[in-house]
Amino acid sequence: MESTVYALRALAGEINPGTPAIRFLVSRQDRSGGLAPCPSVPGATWVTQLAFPLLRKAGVSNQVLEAAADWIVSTQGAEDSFLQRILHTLGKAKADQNPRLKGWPWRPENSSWVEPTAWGLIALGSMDGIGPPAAITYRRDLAVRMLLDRRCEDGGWNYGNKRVLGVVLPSYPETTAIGLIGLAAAGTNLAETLQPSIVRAEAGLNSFHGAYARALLALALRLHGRNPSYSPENASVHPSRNLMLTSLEILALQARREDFLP
Amino acid sequence: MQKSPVSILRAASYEQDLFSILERGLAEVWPDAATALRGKNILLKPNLVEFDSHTCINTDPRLVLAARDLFLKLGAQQVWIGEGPGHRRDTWDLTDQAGYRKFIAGFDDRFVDLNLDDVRPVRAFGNSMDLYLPRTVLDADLVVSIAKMKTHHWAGATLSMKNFFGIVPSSIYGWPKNLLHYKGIDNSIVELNRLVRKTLAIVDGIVAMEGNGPIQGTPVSAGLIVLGRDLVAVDATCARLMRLDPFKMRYLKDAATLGLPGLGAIEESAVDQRGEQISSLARPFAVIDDFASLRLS
Repeated sequence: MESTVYALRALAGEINPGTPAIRFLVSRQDRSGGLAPCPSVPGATWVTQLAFPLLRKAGVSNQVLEAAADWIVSTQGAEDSFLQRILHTLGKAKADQNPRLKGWPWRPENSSWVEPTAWGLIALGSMDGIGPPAAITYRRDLAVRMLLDRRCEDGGWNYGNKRVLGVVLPSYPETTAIGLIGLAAAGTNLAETLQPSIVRAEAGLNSFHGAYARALLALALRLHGRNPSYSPENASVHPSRNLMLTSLEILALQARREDFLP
Repeated sequence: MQKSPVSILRAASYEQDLFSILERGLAEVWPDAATALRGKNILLKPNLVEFDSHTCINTDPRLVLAARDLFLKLGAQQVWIGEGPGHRRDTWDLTDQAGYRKFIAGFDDRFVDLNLDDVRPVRAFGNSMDLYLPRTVLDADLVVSIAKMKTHHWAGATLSMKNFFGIVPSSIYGWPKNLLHYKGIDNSIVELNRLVRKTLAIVDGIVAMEGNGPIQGTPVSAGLIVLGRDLVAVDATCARLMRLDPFKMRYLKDAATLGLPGLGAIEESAVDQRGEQISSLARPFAVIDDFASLRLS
């Protein structure tokens, strides 16, 4: 699923309900309205919000879109148990995060994390006329606040814990990029707030060697109006090279904000 | 009842002849390994989580290299190395940073990112759900947990059994593998060890970690390797070497009560101790306050 979505985005061609890759994505939708991560594994997951903007762009049926939108809008993190809220209020929680600020989990009934929440924000931006406006606005506001709450002290993001047991955790380059990509879809009034994250992303792009993270960082910076100096490394020899990485590298070089974001 | 053999091996540094040390240890705990492993398909599962040059989060690649060479010498048909890190998306970059591609010749052709591998379902957690595990794990004739000896801020200590968290594919369960936390960390450790039964443990305690492990802890030169086929016995022995009480580590106690053959020797009297004596290498590992009760008096 992931590779298909990234490849479709990188190709940036015309898509419609009959496009084989779109038919493949639609075929992964189950009765819950969500999409399953691969043909051999049932059960809807976060790939629903990853794929939703492409389904909308392709113009698949309203029945498919509405079911997927309902799944996305109604799926949220499970971290706000009574116990966690009490521990947070008392300052006794092991992870320093506000459990009321829920984004999206990787799988239903789990906690919210940075990456599925970032893609959730992008999916919400594609729901005009499909999903319930009040719910979309509510989920968008909550997700933005959740991502900012989980941001690390260095300005970036890791998978979603900024401080555990009182110890400050560092960000990772790839999740810093993903966080920025998601927030790029949330509107432009965050520019000042996100400045430390942009600085972190630019520093990561200049210092980090991982091909996957560098491509994501360059894409994130492009979506925030920067024009990063970027070229793919190890173009053919590195064992990490696969369809998803190649797609990301194309997006890092060519993606336009108006195409990538809703 | 037959005792579970566990070997404690002295190894002061990664520059030592780790191949010979492992060969001696394996002979002590599995004398007919060469017969049993000839022509077999073996998966080495190191502990790769994140990389931080200031500490020692991951299994050292030189120990993994020594293990690979040993199993090839014993006649294994294929020796794969596989890991599915729970925090970092780019597994290959992590293997770069941790020195695996530098130290292990031919690494690129023999490494599987378990987060992205093909999967098959197995019934898990009291038959309540399908858990999708990598084909490379399920098809292996032997899975070798080459773990790092570390304290752990959620589980007390992470050793050979906890290391199996890395076989759960993040492409299905996410980064982090949050399902395992919701099912209970101790419960998940026991379940994964119930599901993956053809195993051997090699614990890298040459440089171990104490304090706020498994990532922000402090390196400690423990100078040892622990090896055995009963992963509960190996981890209980490691706990004693860290001056922690294995009977207070829930996943060890729970695994011991499963009654599975070859898994569960938690009592010292049930372990056939080979190699070095615990008393000669044991040292108290610092633990966070939440686990102060684990300390052996």
